[in-house]
Amino acid sequence: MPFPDPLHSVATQQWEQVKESGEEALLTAAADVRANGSFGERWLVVTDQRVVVLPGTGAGEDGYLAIPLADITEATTETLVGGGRLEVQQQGLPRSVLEYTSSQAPKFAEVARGIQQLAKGQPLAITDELPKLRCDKCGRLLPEKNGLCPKCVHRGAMALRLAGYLRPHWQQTVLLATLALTKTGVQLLPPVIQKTIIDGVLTPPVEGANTGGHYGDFGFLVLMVLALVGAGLATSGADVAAGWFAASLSTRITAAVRSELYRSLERLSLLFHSKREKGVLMSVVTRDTDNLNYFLMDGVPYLLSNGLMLIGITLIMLLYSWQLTLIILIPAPFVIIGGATLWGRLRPLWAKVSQSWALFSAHLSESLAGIRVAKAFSQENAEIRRFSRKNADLADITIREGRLWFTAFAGLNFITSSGAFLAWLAGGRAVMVGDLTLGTLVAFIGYLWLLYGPLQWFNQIYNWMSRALAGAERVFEIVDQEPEPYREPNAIALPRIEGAVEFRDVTFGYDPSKPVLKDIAVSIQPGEMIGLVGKSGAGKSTFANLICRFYEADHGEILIDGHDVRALQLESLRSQIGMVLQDQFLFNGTIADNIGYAKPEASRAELIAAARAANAHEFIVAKPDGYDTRVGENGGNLSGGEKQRIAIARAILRDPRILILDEATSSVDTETEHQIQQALARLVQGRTTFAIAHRLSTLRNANRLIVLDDGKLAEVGTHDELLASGGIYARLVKMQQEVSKIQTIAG
Amino acid sequence: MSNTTVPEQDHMDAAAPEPSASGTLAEAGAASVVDPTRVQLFRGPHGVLRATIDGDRSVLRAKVVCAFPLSDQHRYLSILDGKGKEACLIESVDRLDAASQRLVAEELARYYRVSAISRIHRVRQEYRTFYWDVRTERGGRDFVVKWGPDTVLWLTPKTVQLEDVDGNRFIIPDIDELDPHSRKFVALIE
Repeated sequence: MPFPDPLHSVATQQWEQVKESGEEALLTAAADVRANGSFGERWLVVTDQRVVVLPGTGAGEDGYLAIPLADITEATTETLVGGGRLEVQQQGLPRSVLEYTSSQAPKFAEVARGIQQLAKGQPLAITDELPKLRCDKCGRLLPEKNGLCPKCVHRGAMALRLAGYLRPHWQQTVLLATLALTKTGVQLLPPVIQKTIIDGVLTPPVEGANTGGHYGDFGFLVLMVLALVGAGLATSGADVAAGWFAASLSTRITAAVRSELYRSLERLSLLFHSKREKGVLMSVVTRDTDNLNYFLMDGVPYLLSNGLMLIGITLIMLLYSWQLTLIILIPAPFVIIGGATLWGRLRPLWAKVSQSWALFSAHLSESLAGIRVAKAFSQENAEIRRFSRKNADLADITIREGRLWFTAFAGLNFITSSGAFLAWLAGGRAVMVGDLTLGTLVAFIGYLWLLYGPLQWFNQIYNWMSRALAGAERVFEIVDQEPEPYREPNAIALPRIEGAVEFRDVTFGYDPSKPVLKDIAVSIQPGEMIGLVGKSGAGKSTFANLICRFYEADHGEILIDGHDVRALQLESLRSQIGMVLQDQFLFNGTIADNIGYAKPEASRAELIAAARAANAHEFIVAKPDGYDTRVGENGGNLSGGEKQRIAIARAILRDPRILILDEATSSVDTETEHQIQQALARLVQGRTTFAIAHRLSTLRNANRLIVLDDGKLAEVGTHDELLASGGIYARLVKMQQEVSKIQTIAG
Repeated sequence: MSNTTVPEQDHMDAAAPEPSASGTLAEAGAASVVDPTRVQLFRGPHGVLRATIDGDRSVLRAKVVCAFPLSDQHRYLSILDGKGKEACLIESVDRLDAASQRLVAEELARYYRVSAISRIHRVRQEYRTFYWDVRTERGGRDFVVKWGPDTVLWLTPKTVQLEDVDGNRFIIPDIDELDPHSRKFVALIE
């Protein structure tokens, strides 16, 4: 079947009309923007002869277009704001083929690759694994590409999955359910006891009626009051015990879910992390698991006991008087509808309050982080005004929510009370005519409040449950993601990497529709020092990231010692690669902790040896706490040069076979740079090294230089060779020399 | 206007004014600003936009972008060459010739694919995710917006821009112009 979209009937007819004999569609794709810019289908058909555009359902306004493949030298996609355009170079001139929305950008990136391959006479080799935008089952738009469809996620299955976490705690679970039953049973007793007191002890017996013969019996009254006290104590006791068990059970379940979630986050690829906002992931780990906890701790017991209560009360009331029961249940539908309306109105308001808080918190965090800049530009008053605006917005929405809540809640209470009005009216009349005893009426009214209270809140419980289950969905969505194949049993373990690295026609983009590296082919010998050169955004760091398999190539292969990195055990690969980055991340701990991060079992002598090799030992011991100095959040207590040298010591301690130095000396002063260069010179000995540096002079000693230009491999050679060739590298060197002259004159 | 007398190069950098290293801020800012009457735009083969500046420079593959696309779309337009390098900056389109003005409008409409919402059929909210079903000047569309300060962007108190999960953009130019049915859905993101 042609890739990626099978032609539908209209497009098939159009294709049949323009198809030449023997011509076969190799690639077909539907675009979602017509030639006039409106939304609608337009079709692209690529054969081994031509690129053809069909008007699809927009026939009449869009024309056909056909470009011979032989005329095409290049096929590319251009990113527009909110869309994209497929373009070809036809006989050296750019030509727009068709446009699409951003939703289809990944598809047309592949289509462009396909056209390019066919135009070059190569076999068609493009991926058919395009991101999924709509649910396969219901066709609804997904909240994110390849994400879960909220409608099709089975709530019951989700609840069952959560229930699976109860298995290790089944005794506590049974106990909790028993307590809920007990509490419900005991709560039903007081109105019956009150009825017995009124009808049996306080009301003179009516002739012929059996009231138990306790009229005026004070001892029996004391007994009944003691029964009331007992029921009250039992309810409170069951409450305490249930709360105690629920708190422990829910917290354990949530902790288990949180642990599983964090394990998944640590094991997921950088591609996953680069596409998710940190704040969102933090919200899943904290807020969603908290919602789950609250629901399990408060919601489930509430649902259980009040559900049983509703059934119990209705049965008892029906037994006493089915007529009165029906009358007092008249407001029930209004309470349920009123409750649903109230929650329906409150839900978006809550979301807004939450959004306003998120904005407020983000603003506060940003303002505090940037307070130095605000002061430097004397913008304190402007910042205070901005804060006041956000604060006022937050206050406004909170007031709106509060007002709605109290108004609606009072209204709902009134509707609920109307049940009592009806009970007094209809029940009172029944008492007057002798159809009902006063005690039964009082019991009815007691049950009425027990009945309507839960009814009001059942809608909230549903929302509560929905929110908790939606949170659980988000949690399990992460947990169910495919982790990095860290220790796959069939993967090859390389005990000692020699250091041969080969890129075979590698293409990669963080977004596949925007390749950062294009058809890179280069082979590096073990022990070579390679300098990666190119403008910002040329793909240098991406090149290095692919060696570590932080990301996987979209096309082509990366080989380490002749093995495809995808076939290697990740642990054995990464444990033999050392990285020193421009902005090295240090964990909040001591200097010793940070150096030892690469090898937790390292002895103190090894830590010192690594620090010495990194020219870090002297500044470390000069600090009052030496190696025990706390580095602060992300090394905030250290200077840039100190952080860099600790990072180098960390890399040295690991004794890596492949070393990646990504702008390792760019953010330090000349003297520190000299010290770091000395340390690096020791570090690169006998290892395959990839060095990325803005200052080209630092790469002079590289065995070879790889020059990347717009993601393509532009030049490879030694410093002298590339200088002599007068290409990109030579131009960059010349430019840096000129900048250096200007700086010297200006300085 | 004819382009036959104009030497066709991708972009003749040598003639482009460069900011002076020792000049004032105003001089640096004005370096690439050109008088619009000296800029002409026209279509080349396959409808590709071309530009001539000062009558002696030609940009074979020109692209027009706004310096302030969200806050001021009519002023400070940058003409880029095929490599994304700025050929010149035009402060206002008003003084371009009529044909060039029309081409600028066409190019901006093609580059900034922001669909104006004229009616909101329905918005469904699931916590911070909004599912929109709307009518725009480009036709009907449904899309998903994950709420955030960058995805629901109030450009003015009456104008809001939405960016969906795929990066498509939609704008409600004036919420007061919407019918009451649509207006009630806007309240969800206000």
